[in-house]
Amino acid sequence: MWIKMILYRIDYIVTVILFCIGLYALILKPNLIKKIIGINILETSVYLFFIASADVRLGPATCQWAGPSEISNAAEVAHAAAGHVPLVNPIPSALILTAIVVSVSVTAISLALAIKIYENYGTLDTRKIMRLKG
Amino acid sequence: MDLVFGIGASHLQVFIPLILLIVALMIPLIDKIDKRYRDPLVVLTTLMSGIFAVIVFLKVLSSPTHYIEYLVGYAWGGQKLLHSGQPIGIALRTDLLGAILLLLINAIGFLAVVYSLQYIQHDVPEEKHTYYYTLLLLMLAGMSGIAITGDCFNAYVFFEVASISSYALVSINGKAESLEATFKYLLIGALSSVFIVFAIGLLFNATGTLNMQYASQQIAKIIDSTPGSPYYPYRYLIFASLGLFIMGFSVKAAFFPGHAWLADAHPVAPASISALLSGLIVKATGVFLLIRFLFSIFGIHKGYYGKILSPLFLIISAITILSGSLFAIVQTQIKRMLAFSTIAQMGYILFGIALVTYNGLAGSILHIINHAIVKSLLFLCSGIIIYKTGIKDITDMGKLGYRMPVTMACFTIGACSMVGVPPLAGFMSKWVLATASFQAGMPYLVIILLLSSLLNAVYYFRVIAISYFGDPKIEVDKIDEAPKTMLVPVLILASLVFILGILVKYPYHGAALPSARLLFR
Repeated sequence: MWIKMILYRIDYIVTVILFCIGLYALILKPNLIKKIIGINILETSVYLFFIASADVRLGPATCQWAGPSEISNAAEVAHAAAGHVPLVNPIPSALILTAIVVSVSVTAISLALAIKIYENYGTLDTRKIMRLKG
Repeated sequence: MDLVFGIGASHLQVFIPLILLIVALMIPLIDKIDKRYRDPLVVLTTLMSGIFAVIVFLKVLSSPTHYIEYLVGYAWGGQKLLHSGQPIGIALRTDLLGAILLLLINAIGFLAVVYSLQYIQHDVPEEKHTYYYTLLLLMLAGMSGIAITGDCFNAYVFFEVASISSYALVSINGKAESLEATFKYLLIGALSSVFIVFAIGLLFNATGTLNMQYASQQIAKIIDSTPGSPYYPYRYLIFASLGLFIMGFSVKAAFFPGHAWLADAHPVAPASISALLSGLIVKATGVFLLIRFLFSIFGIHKGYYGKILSPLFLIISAITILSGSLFAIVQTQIKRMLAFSTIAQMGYILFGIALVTYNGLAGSILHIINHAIVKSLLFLCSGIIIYKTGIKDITDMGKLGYRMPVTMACFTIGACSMVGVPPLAGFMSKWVLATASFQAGMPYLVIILLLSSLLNAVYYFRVIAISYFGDPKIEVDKIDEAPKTMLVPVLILASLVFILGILVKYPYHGAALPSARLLFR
């Protein structure tokens, strides 16, 4: 039984694992490039969460067509009356396209900064870079 | 909701981020064609968006409901496309708080651009001037977008536009320390934005919408439901989402555990950018969105989330106020001192939010207005000092008050306002916050405000005392007043500090109280 539950929610579990890996890399790794990779893993985990929550064909519906609100669209009423689970929600995919663009620009600017920091300090190790006390 | 499909001339607030975005991307092209057109174009654009912001503000103020809203959506064969009863599209909702922020952003942005014309000759490498203006306009566009939007994900996109351009602007002079500070700022900013996207995902899963108004109705339905109803399980998603939002925006607003980046990032930027960062960015991307989500969407004032959040916010705000003030005392560099003072002042704004009363929120909004103006003034003054003399340490500022009378007089006005000398703007918002805490039945919290005012006095009056009565460390005879394009913005801001202090009933009764009333509905 619990194996079935885990299998149904495997994408959410992977989301949590990826989130923890990303957070670990971002906070504890001293290398700047590894920190940037950490940010990317964090962002990927959130995108996976969005995409997984849009797909409701497996298991109990975590995200319905219109959340917990009443169904008002005639097509949806017919769809529900026929006993079908609601369709895959298209909105999260559209949102994630935008969020990927954002994350690409964050990655680009952070890599450019890492190059500049290497030129100025000669290292990418945060333990050697730390000059400001803030 | 008033539905509009397509944009017309009567929807002025859309044009503000639109114009700024288009011109921002045109500037590198214009620069290739002819360098002389660049500066007038930037000044005219920000002037135009400033005028538009004034018109939008007056329109929102004069409308009986105190907000303008409509939907930029789609029509399908003459019919609106619906998604379970609500029209599909991006809602734009400019309420009074958004209009206040829009006005502040575009007015201070215009003054900062005018100030930059001379200032960046000194502080930014020649080949980067074009990108400086592009990024500056992008940042203003992002913040203006945050102020007018009524859609969660749209707010996130504009939040990122403003944040990413601010990362690039902090590091624009390419010095080693500014690169390091930017990287710190970027990492913590990226973490906060990940929290915010995650929170938006949870909110979307729980409510099925991204429209702020519709989401708030759904949240009310979910929280009010009893065990056994189909809405009931979604409440845990709502709690998780609220927690992630608070974490994300608190970092951006530099509240206590996440305040360290601000003290590094704000001082290393060029002074005009420091003014915008301290005056506007921490408010637009941090406090404004926190207020928007806490009150307009999650309905914290309806008592949904028990009695945990208010004491938590009060503790955080007390620590932020006191630690910011104490760290500011030990600083030797003037811009670093101002940055720590910003942290302390953000604590004040959180203090008003944490009371979760109507007057407290009005005090917060008044403090957002006053602090945006005063901190921009102080950073621009410190920029003039650096531009003319290269002095960064407070102890080197001896006798500057006699050589640069206008600048130091304006700095003194700003410093007195920060400390809370009565007729000035800073006193009024502290007074409102103190009376609000009395009315909320927590009079002992006034001690924190008084103590912090005392600490403010210690570090601000030290600067004033040294600059008028200290011994000069450098050759002061050759120093004279700054060029007029730098002095005029400073003078305008200094006179605003006076006007908003003496005529406090207009910003308070005219803007802060009605916008708080709107948020409390």
